[in-house]
Amino acid sequence: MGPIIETKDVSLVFRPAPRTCVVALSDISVQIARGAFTIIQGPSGSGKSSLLQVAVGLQPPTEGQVMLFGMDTARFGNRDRAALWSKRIGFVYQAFNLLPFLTAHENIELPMRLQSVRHKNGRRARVEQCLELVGMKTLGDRLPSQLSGGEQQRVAIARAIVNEPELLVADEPTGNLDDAAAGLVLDLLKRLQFELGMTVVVATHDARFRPAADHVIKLEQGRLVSEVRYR
Amino acid sequence: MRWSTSTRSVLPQARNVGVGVWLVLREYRRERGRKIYRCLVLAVILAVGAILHILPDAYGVLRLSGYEQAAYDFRLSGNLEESDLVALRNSPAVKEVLAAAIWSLRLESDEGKAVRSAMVVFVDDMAVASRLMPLNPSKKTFEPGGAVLTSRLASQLSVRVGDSILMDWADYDVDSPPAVPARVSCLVESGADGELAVVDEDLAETALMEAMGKLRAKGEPGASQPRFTVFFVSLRHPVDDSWIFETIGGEPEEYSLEWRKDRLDSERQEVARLDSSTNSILKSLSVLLYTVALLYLCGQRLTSRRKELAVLAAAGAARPTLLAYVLADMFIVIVSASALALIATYLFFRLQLMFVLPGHLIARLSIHGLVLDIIVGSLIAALAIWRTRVSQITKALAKVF
Repeated sequence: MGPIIETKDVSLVFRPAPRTCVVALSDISVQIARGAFTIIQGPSGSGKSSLLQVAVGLQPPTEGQVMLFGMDTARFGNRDRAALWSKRIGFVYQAFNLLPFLTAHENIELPMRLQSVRHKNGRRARVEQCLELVGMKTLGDRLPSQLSGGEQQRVAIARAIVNEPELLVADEPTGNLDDAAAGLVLDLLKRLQFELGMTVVVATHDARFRPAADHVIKLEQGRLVSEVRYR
Repeated sequence: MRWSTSTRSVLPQARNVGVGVWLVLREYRRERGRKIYRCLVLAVILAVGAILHILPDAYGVLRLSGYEQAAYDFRLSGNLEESDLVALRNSPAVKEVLAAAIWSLRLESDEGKAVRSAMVVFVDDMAVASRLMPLNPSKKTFEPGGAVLTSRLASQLSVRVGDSILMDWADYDVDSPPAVPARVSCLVESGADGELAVVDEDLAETALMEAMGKLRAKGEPGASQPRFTVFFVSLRHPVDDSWIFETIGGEPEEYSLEWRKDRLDSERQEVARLDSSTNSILKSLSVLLYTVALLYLCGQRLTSRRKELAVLAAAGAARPTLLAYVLADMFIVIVSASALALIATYLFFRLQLMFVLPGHLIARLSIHGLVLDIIVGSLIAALAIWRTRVSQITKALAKVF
């Protein structure tokens, strides 16, 4: 089985103003294997988030090719992208991005509604499972504003995995958390890889992720400086 | 741990729209205060637009409705006497005549709280006055023996139906004229003739005649006041001007003759003249205001929701869901703000224009103005939303990361 993500000579150049050019990524070629726990590391501005965005089709590369689940992202239409994001990819953000007017339960339920899972009981059971998995079973009826940062991130992770995606993408998931909460999130992501067999890709500068990673991609100034596979 | 996928199914796009609506309803349930505030702001803008829109119509109604509803054919003013009245009433061409004397008097509320000078029309038949005079577009029946005030005058005097007023001489310093009391039997909503009171002549005849006698004795101006100053005449068949003067036995230059049809035509021309300039400007302004307000609302909605939309897109929301989310929100805001604006517009015309327009007419005009403007504004706003592409939203998603 081929890699879940493959970038070939990918470059990403932004032009924020005429005659101004920012090179976010330069000739990046990497392969991310299915089932692996991959981390993309580097200092701020090194292109971690850009690589993540390009890899999952959020940004088209300026040059090069990105193969996601064996498909060229350049050929994705809106429907392909929506189908892919709702079924096969889960997103976890640094700022959690929970919808503030939905309870934790409803936030987690949302991707299932978007995927037209009809049966209310089925949805409820699955949300309960996810809440239990992230250790939030008793807090399902709370609004995001009534949860701590760590709790919000765990709800965000539950939302990302509720549709059983093959790929979980996280951008600085511990960036806004204290040490204890960050540790919980790291453990949770690792468990998801082990127990559910998900491929996890994390862009982070948090050194605690390194021992947990199967594959470490290190970027500096938009260039790939090292790539290490432990397993 | 693996979950069953048996419950999954692909449903038509209507389901996606349903999710958008579900999200909006949840949002309204949890963020009620913010939504109400936004609604109120939009309602004020819509109400201002509606007022601008219907002002020219209201003006037209004010100018025309009294004359349109009146049943007289011509109005003859001058020094008119009992013999003139008898001559007209005896003519087979005449259907009805209302004889009236217009006097400028001082009116007081019964408790003396307020005093106003106003034109008082003493009429010889209140029932005929309610049909013939251009004062009564809503066709109320004037009660014999009572006084009818315009709503504006009643408001100034702070009197209501059932209260009494006192009529007194204002212009001539007559010693101790008896103040004439009259019970207010009816209020009329008309601005066509300004501040007026219509009073049954029987009610005040004695007192006024007494005062007239005093005036004559003192040789004051107004002492030669005629018995009547105006006739409103309704005809059975058309007659010409010369017939009128032959019937009353007078010279045309001694009187002022005005045909209702001519007056109405002249009023219509005046209103039409306004239509071609002010009307178009105000209505364009109103539509512009609505469009800008709704576009701002859409833009603000799209901007403030960019993060939510991006997160939804990342969770797999298709375009119909995203559109439904934004449009359902706008629909709720526009409908509720319109309802509030309708009430505000109605109250504005009721209170600011001092009851000069009948309530049902204000409601009709307000709905007309609002509906037209909302259709135009909403179409433009909907077009703006429709042009929003999912790719724009995904760009926003890239910023969310």
